[in-house]
Amino acid sequence: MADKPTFDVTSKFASQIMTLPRQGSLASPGVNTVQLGAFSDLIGTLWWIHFQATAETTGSDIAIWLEVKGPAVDSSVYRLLEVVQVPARSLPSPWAGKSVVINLDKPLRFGNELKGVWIGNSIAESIAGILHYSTL
Amino acid sequence: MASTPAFAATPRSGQGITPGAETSRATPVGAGVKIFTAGASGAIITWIHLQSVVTTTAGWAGIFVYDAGNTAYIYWEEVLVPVVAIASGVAPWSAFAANVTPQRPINLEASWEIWVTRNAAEALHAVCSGGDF
Repeated sequence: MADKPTFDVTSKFASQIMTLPRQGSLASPGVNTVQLGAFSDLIGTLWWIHFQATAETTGSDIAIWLEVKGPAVDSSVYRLLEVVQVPARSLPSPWAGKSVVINLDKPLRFGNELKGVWIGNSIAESIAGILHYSTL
Repeated sequence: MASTPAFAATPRSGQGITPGAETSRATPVGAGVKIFTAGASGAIITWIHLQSVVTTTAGWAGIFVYDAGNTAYIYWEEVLVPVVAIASGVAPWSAFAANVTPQRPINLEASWEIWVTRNAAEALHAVCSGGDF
């Protein structure tokens, strides 16, 4: 049992752009989803996930999955974390939004069970995902 | 009494998917899922989020705490699940457990567990955040 607090010492960002429509069910990421962050054997904190459209949006949804270690060696299982609604928005001032599950009020503290974060938009529109995390 | 504070020094999350319909409010072991087991010095859980991946029927999700010392399940919270039909512009149902928040976390003793159930056979993905002392 620790008698003093531990602090994350390494601050990191990760980003990816979604351009193609995801395929498959919400149960796990399928074709045209992208891995936003990779955390193999890291321990730390996922602080927030932000989305920024780089073009006009017409209405869609973005699924966010956690990739965690599976029961078999080198296997993964996926948990749907959240589905973010994207409204129709024309330029200028393209749509931007955030995860309501993971944010500064409720960061995700993770151990080496977490392997990554995946995102996928339901239609073919250009939206960037940005992830901020830190590690011990 | 300790003369120094204790901190959850090892961050850790927990996850699981409900495997089927579990209507018991006494025990989750029939068709519930264990999403977290506290380490040898205990653990803290700051939030639990429930996310459906399918259209939901009206019912509930149950959250249990397993008391490893007394080998007993504590029915911690019941989260009502409304009918939500997934469609364009309609996201699948989701909710946070109201009785587990960063301001009011659960402190688990060693080997205590968190379980989640759903009273209908509709896959519910559960994620929790916390850490081991």
